This record gives sequence, C-alpha cells and structure tokens, in this order.
Amino acid sequence: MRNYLTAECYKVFRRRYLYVTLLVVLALEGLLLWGCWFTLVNGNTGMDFYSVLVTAAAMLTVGAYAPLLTCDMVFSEQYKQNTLKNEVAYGLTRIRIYLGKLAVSALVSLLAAAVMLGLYSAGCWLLFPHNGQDGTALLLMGYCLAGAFPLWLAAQGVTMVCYFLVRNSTLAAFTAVGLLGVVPGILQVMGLLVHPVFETVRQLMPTVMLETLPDMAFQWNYIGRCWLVGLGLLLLSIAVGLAAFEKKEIH
Amino acid sequence: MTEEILVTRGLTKRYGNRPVVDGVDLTVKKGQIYGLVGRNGAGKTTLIRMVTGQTPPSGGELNLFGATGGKELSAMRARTGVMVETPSFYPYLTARQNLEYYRLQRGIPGSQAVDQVLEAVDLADTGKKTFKNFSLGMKQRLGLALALMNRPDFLLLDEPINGLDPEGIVEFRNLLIRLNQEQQTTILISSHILPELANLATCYGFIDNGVMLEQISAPALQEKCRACLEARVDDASQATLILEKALGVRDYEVLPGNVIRLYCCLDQPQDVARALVEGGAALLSIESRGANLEDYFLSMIGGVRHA
Repeated sequence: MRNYLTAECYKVFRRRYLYVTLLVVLALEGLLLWGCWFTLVNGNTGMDFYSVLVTAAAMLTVGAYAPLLTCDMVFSEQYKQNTLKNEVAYGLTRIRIYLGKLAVSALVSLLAAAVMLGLYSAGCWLLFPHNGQDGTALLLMGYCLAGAFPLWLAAQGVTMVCYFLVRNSTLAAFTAVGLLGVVPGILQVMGLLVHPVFETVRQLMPTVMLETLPDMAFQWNYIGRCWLVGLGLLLLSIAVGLAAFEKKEIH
Repeated sequence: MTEEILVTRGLTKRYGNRPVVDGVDLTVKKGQIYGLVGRNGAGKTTLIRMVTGQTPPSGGELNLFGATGGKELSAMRARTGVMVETPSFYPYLTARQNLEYYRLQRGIPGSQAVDQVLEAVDLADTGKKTFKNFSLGMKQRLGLALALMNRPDFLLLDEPINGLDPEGIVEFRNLLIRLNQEQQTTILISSHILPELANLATCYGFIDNGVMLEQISAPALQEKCRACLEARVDDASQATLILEKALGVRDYEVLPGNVIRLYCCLDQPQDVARALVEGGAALLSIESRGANLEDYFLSMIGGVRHA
C-alpha cells in the first residue's frame, strides 16, 4: 500500500491542475480578505480579527464540495484514459486501488485545507485589529474544524464512489453534487409534504450538518454526532464503492 | 515436463446470453511464443482481459503460474507484462514520469529500471514531451516499455505492432525474439498481421466466434502447410507404384479418397501427369498446393473473411 500511496502522490503533485486550483482559491480568499480590510480602512469599525475569522466557519460547507476537485485530480479520468488496466493487469488488488486513491485524495484535500485556512488565519491576524475575543475566535474555529473534519471525509468518500462508478468524470461530479447538495433539498421538501422522518434524515446529511455546526458552538455532543455520521457515511461509501468496483469491467 | 505458464479450461465470458468467449481450453508452456490468431471480434482481447483480471470470467478455470484464484492469482499477475489494445498513460506526464509512476506503484527498485526500458524501446530522448503529444508508434513503444519494466516471465501482448512503422516492427520482432531466447520470457501475442506472427510464433491458437478451433505447434503447422503436388487418381496404390518406377518418387503420402501428395517434382506437374497416364492410371486432377498461415487460418474459419 505504501508503494501505491507514494506513486499516487508522485502523480498528483506533478499536476499543474492542483497548483492552479489552489492559486485560484487562494486568490478568492485574498479578495475576501481585501474586501473586509477595505471596509475596515473606510470606517467599518465592526471588522476585527474575531469577526473576519469566524466568517470562515460559515463557509465550512464549501469543504464538502472540495473533493469534487481533489478526487478528480487523483482519479485523473481513469476511465477516459483507460489507465486502470495498467494497475489491475499487474495484479494490484481493487481494494488497494480504491483505498489508495481515496486516501491520497483525502490527503490532498487536507493539505489544501491546511494551506487555505493557515493563510486565511494569518491574513486575519495581520490585517485586522485584535481585542479580547481573539481566543474565542480561535476556539470557535477549532470547534468547527473538529466537527467538520469527519463530515468532509464523508463527502470525500461519497465523491470517490461517484468517480469510481460513473465512467464520465463530469457526470460523476454532477452525481456527487446531487448526492451532497440536491438530496438534502429533496428531503426537506419531502419532510414538509410527506413525513417528518425525511427532515430527520436530512439533518444527518453532511452538508446540512456543516451548515448547522457554527450554530451549535461548543455543544460537544453535536461534535460526537458529526464524527458518528461522518465516519459511518465514509465506511458505507467505501463498502458500496468497493462492492461495485470489484465487479466492474476495466477496459 | 515443460512448465505450464497459462492454462485455461472451459474459460467462458458471456454478456447476457451471448458468449464472447466460449469454453476455451488453452495451454501456454514456458518458453513458447504463442500466437493467438482470430479475426476482429473473435474473442482474443476478451480472453486476454480475463487472464489479466480486467474482466471477470463467467465460467471455467484459469491457471496462471499454478495459481487459480484470489490473492495468489493477483500475486502471479505481477510476474506478467501486459499490453492490451492501445497503450494508456496519463496524458499530462512525460514518458519518464509515466514509467516512474508505475515503477513506484509496483515497488520496482532503482529508477535505472525506467532508463533501461526507455533505452530498449528507443524513447530515452523524448525529454519533456508529454504522452498526449506522442505519435501512435511512440505510444506503442511506451506501452511495451511498461510491459517490460518488471522483467516479466510472461508477456501478454494484444495487437502490439499496430501503429509501428516497418522499421519499428522489425525492431519489435527482434526484441521479442531476444527476450524469448536470452531471458526465456514466455510470450502470448495476438495480431491481425499474420505474416508477422508467422515470423515469431512457436505455437498457434486459432480462435473464432469465441471458440478455440485448434492449437498447433509451428513445426506441425509448417508440415500441414508444406508445398506439394496433389493428384487425385482412381487407384492410389497403382499410381504410387507407377510414380516410384517412372520418376523415382519417394517423398509422398496417400490421403483418403485416392489423393496422393507429392513433396517432390513441384515444378514438374506435366511429367507427373504424363507418367501416370502412360502407366495406365486414371488421373482425375492434379494441382499445386501449399498454404501460409493466412491461408490456413482462412480455410479453418471456412472462407475468405477479414482476418
């Protein structure tokens, strides 16, 4: 497995795609920071380290869609390029292939998240005035990240299933968006129109839990629920993905 | 006993009710260059895909280096080098980067393994050119480089010379012969270009409509395809006596239906006919015969079809 992970890292870290995407996201992050700083220097006294940093907590849901890019980078259109046959024909087990790609895509997501959050936090620290709420802001971010991490992993798992099972990468991305973003909407409507149980199920969807997370500040039982749901969904997605991939014909 | 590298018994692949490979028995022995011959859609690629694990069989047995299934079979696949259909690589990586990726993935020690195979297939000087900018011939050669990188005991090559120029074909043929003779690499090769297969193979398997029609060694095939004069007479025993006496013929065989095959006098059909008629035998027909691999295959599948 170590060889497989090394090779996947070798491949993904040689893709311009990774660095260009990261640069674009960092540029957008810079734009947000500049916007906040611009209002500060023009008299908006509400702009301080606390308020700008916790803005990031409101964008945790974005992290659930980041796997669309990181899974795509790692999976590298295997079905279009037919490169999976080189791995299968050498006798690499499909379990290793599946878990290897999932692990590396999760690693890339984690590194990208670390770079983005690190630079954002550093920007906030340098650009905005500090007050007694600095510690609270950092604690709140820590709390949100502790809950978001397993939910992001679940999103990673769900997205990777789509890339492995849907031959077309674009369609796979749309399927993942559908599962992560559209299904909660459908459940919400069904909860209103059909039965409240659908609303209960919706509350267990990763994107919904990520949205709710900042409002549940320091309720540690909610963090427990995030881990339970996140890891449960990750394991379920791996089981479904592996079962289907084992039977898949590789051309 | 010669070691059996690959044995299939009743290997079958069905899509719905349609069998694409139907109960194929195949044996590849150590040191052989096995030519798999069949027209388009005959089932060659599906058969190879089942051996490589890309397609799960619907039935039958598959034995590779003595392993028949599970992790053991997967492990044995690491002793093979495979090139199935068009070689596939990451388009944004160079030849060296693509091979380095697979070297790392397969745990092959030393990056000189990459340099050696790139040198062997004449791709050492491709520099920063990425795979997407390669010609078909270069892609084929890179595919072969990957197949050779782990120094396989058994090479499975599906249509490997597609896209190679004449010079490339000769180099490729020589490389395979060298691997076979110097490193005892066993090779299974499928190709449409039958004259090219005839230059390489030591054994043939003829497949059509998913069914293995015949497995035959190259010497046995050569014997079957040997050039001869075929005379049909009314009494073969009388005719052979006449020919022995009149022309001193010794190299012949008598087939059922009073057919005599003469492996001498190939350029003297008139003399043979005259001798028979003057000796009192009734000569019904006489014709030159002899087949190459292509003719043999076509006669086997029953007529001229695209091979």
